[in-house]
Amino acid sequence: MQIRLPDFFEIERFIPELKATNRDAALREMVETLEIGQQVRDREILLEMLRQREQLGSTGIGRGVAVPHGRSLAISQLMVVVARSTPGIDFEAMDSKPVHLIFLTAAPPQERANLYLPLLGKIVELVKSARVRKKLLSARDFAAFAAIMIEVDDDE
Amino acid sequence: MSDNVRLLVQLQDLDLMIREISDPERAKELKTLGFEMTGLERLKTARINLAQSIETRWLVIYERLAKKHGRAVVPVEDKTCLGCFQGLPGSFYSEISAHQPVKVCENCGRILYMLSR
Repeated sequence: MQIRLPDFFEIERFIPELKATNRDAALREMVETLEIGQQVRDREILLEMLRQREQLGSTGIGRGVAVPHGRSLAISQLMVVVARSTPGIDFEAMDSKPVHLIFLTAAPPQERANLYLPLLGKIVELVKSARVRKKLLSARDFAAFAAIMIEVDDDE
Repeated sequence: MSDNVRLLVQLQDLDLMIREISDPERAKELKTLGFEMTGLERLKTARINLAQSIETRWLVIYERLAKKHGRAVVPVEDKTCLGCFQGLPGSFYSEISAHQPVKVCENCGRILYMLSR
């Protein structure tokens, strides 16, 4: 199935500038954008899963990007929260550099469309380009951020 | 929602993570994407610690159900168990009490996880 990146991003789940200054606080701030309801059953459980995932190995993939991710029963739908940090956050990334762009990706244990891994792949692919990273970091608002993703998607 | 249910959900999330990275094909896929996964032993230790904090009888039930069904804890949506997709009786919600904080599906026996409100 063809994945369209812009379909997974919402203004409610976009943090233009994180207040958090460390990894744990950043994950919390991002999870707090998720409304409790049919789609998110328990934020604390989701947060705990993400913390455990970081114990397994940093999700800081280098070049100033982190993609914290995992599956939890606390969520009923594949969701992405995106956040930026100008000063950067120590994610214990593989290149030891601070992280400025974070794509939190969470999915339920079983998801019929099976988009979780392809979506992670698409995000990783998106941020490989230095030009795209620079544009995403300097986008003035969510509309500009989303427009970059649409542009990248259309180019493929 | 009962603390036991929340802990069981956390345990299941951990088990799922451990299972995923123990699957060579899945681990390879994630490594190809650039994710580090060197802390499997740390996760297994976290699992042991978490299991110790769960009431024994529920842990035993969880382990038995996980072995049988893969997933021991399943969500409830629209008064339906999402493990066996059978509807739950009308009295289901009113029966939840301090004496019976963890509910299981009468049809499949799985532990039911409801929206926390």
